Amino acid sequence: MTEPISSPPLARYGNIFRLGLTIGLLGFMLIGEFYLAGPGLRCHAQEPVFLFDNHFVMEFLSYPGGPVTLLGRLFSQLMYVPWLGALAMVLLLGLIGGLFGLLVGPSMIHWLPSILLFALYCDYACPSGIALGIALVIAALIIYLRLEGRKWWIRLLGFCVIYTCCYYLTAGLSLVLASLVILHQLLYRRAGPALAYLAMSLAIPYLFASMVFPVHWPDAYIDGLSRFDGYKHGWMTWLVYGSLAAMVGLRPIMLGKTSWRAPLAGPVTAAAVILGGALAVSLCIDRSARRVLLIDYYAARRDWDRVLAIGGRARANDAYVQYQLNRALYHHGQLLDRMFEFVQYPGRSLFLKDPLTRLRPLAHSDLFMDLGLVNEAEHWAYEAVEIKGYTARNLARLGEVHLLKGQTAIASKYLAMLRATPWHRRLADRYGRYLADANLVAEDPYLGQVLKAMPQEDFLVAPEYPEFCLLELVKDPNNTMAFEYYMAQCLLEGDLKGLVRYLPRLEQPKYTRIPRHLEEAIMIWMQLPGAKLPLDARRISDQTIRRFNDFTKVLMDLHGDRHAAARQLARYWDTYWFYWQYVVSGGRS
Amino acid sequence: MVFYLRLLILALAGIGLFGCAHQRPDTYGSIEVDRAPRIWPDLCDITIPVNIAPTNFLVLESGQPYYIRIWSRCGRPIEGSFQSGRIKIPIKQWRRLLRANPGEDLHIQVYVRQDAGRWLSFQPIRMHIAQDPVDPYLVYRLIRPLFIYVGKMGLYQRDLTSFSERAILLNNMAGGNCINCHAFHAYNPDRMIFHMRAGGPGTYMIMAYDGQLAKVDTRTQINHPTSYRCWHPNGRVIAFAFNTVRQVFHAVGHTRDVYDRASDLLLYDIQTRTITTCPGISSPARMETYPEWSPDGRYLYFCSGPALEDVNNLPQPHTAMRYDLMRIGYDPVTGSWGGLEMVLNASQMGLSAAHPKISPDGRYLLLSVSECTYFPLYRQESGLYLLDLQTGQFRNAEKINSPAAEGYHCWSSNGRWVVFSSKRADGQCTHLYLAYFDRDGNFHKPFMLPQEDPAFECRRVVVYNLPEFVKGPISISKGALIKTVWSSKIVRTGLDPNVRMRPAGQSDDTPYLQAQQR
Repeated sequence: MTEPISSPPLARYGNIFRLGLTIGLLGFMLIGEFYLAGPGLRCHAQEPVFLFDNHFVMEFLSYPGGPVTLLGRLFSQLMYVPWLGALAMVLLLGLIGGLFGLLVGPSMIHWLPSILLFALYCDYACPSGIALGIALVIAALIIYLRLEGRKWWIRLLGFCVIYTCCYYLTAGLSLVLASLVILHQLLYRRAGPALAYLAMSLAIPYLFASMVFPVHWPDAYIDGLSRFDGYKHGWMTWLVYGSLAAMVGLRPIMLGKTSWRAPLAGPVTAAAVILGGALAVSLCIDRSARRVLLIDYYAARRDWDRVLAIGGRARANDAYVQYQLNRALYHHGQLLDRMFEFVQYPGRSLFLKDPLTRLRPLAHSDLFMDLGLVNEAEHWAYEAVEIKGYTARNLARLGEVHLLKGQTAIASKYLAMLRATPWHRRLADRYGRYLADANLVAEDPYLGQVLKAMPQEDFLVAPEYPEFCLLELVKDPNNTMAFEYYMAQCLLEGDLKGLVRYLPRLEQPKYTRIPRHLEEAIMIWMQLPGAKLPLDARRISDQTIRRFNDFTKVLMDLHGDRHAAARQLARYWDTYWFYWQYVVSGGRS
Repeated sequence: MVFYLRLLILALAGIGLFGCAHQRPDTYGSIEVDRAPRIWPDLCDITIPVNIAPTNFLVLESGQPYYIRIWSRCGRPIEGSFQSGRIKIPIKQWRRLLRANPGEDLHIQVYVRQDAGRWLSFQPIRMHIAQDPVDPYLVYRLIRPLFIYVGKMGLYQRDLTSFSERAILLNNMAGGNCINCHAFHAYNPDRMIFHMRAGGPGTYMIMAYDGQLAKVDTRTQINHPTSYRCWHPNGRVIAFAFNTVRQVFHAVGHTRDVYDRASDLLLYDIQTRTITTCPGISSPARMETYPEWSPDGRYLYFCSGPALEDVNNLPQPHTAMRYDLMRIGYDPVTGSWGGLEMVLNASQMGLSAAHPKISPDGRYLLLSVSECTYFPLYRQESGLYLLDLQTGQFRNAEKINSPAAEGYHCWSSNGRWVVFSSKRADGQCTHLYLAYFDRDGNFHKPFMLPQEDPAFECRRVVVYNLPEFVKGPISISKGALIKTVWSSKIVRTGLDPNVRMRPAGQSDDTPYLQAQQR
């Protein structure tokens, strides 16, 4: 297919050089992918739904693009094991590079699409199906190019068959194939066939959309091309498509005897490709998105140490990170001692609000599970299913809530689906045992806690104002989380009256002292005329009293001018007094 | 070569014969079990229409293989061996057997071979084959259990004489919006309406009328888009409710309830494309919903509940929202309204009426009854009740009810069958059940809509919604529907100049939101 580029000894060195570079490149990709994907972040971000079930598979075979979507989801399952996922992804990128190697001959330039794809996959939400689809498109292109030199009608028929198959497999992505073929024709100055292919490539999706698999006709072109399995493509995908076109454009040069061939196949070009790829990767890596994903990942696994370790590095986090940090603080018994070490968002950092509830419905459900409000956990698990489908986590949650409610018939359905996922059979089996013996639910370390916290009396929950549920949940003296979240909510809202109402709860044996922020709030409360501390066995620590005196002295020295005192009071930034002065009283959000 | 090939065929035939021989139970040597086998769904003592698809089932007894024998008075019995408990009855033989035995009993005997090689023979399951056929097609919506966000859903038609299920429209073809409230004129598949809401193509009604398709904007100065509907027998007028729906979420027990902040009724004239109403059906002092025409078209039945202001001071207002059944006279020729009458004072009985559906002969009215609100499927206690419109007798249709929620029913065109939704299978998913209604006004034990793969249906999480019988397949192509859904040509609706009132408190929002923005 290709001719030697230089004289035999030089070619040998060139081959060794290229082999070394290829191994280095793939190794770099493997390490990068392992860093990016570990510890299962890609899988966590996408939560690809895949069930070993006939009906599930058939659903994907019933529309164009379904087969590659299904294949992509199956491929993504490998990413539950980070090293396996990383290896599979690198092999796939290697395959794409190899296919382009077949197309343009031996050089490093054919790695450009793979490197750009690697950069594209820095976005955790990008489904694996895209790379699989691109591999299919390149394979189809190579098959088509085999027809070169045959009669025009054979080529036309061949294109029609290849394009139709490709359209069924990859939907709109096949338009990339059509574009590449048309470009190829134009490069060889065959305007007639190019026009015929253009007409065919536009007509076939339309015919599919109107006759075979009816869809709204623009969707017949857009699905797969500018969106894939719910993922909307950004500029990087278009750059990948551009690189595919570049490969086809370079093909005549690389395979021909032009003066451009040697420099393009040389080490400078190779270095440029790799450097360009590295630049694209560095542009695409979003460290803050990775941090959020890591926190979400560990929070989903209730690994609060890691949530605190990662989230606790910054004082100011976004509302979602702060929401998970607050959960972690509670589970560490530190919420009422440390929450003001972080920037809090009144009304948004204890509970999620729209649009975060829509983006992360299961995380919203998680909190309701913690609080024992199983009905609302169920509600948001069902929302999660509508938004993200039957992911393993959604199925597990639905199984849990129905087990907790004693609804074994429906629980068994969700557990059967969970069993059909590739990696969650063991969990399904464990919960499956609870179906036969309800007592096991109470003994489960997680579900048992939730069961204990479940309310007995009904009340209405407002999805727009989830924090209102605390007013009812806090009435249960055994629901510790509801109590602490209620107190935290009172602190955030500056509702000291509501806070003092439940202070006697601190005299329960599980509290040995008054948490710091509550002490700080009590100090403010005590300044009100006639205020009394409704506690007998607990007292404010001397340190808090001393610090409060110092805080108030600074303010009084400046005649209560909180803006003038801001600098001096900055050393109290992690106290409730500071929050009170500058958020509750200052009216700042 | 030919010799070896023949030898192979003989060997295979021998293996096959041997295999078949030990698959068949020895009728005399089997151990008789003094009970019917445990199967899913329940088929014991049900009445089935003569034209129904095979009632495939799942045997829940352990063992392998299973042997099934189905017989009736006439015709050749159906027999077969199955390696698993999924019993799929051959459709041709089933049809032949049913056609030969209308009005007769049908028996299914199940044999299961145990580990020791002995066959267990269970008591036969008895069914009755009614002489009355059921309408051959059923149209319903398939969704997952929904709260606020809407993911995947679709309108489907099912051939009841086979297992063929075809999508009429899926919401991913219509911008991922909510598709609901479908209705037909007189069981005619060529006259259909449905609504779509909160999505890319907008909130409109799609109307198919004898081959013509239209995208209708039913909004006028007095109403936002319409919802619950009933087509007048004359085919020219459709009665609609337009509601401002809200959901409330419970902390304990069932998860949610639905109530209206406002609701009224109106009539849409297909020919003049105008909307009209009258104070009797759109009173601000009451909330009117679920319109249902009497078969002669001279009365509009509907459910009527208290206005929100009357109950809003309660901690859980929806618990006081109990709907009565009322009717108003209507002259289809002049379009004039008659007097308002109370048909069933359900609220006085501590009950709430919903989904009134009148039998085609006009004698009976079947309705859903629950403790409160008008959304019975969210309430476990809801059940179907029968009101005899001649005698006024009101009774629980016990034979078809279960401890789980029942609702969304529809009479067949001959009035002998009722299809309804029930959550009895698992308390969460809604399946369809068919029940025979005999000439003495009694229901027979219902059976679940037969499915080709009973095991799949057993584990499937699905909500069958709003079943409607039709007399034939819907001929409108999916492509034409999609084109209409996305069309920019919209039929606007005018308001009857005689209507001057403006109901208070109506708003255009919907309680359901798109899960994915497209």
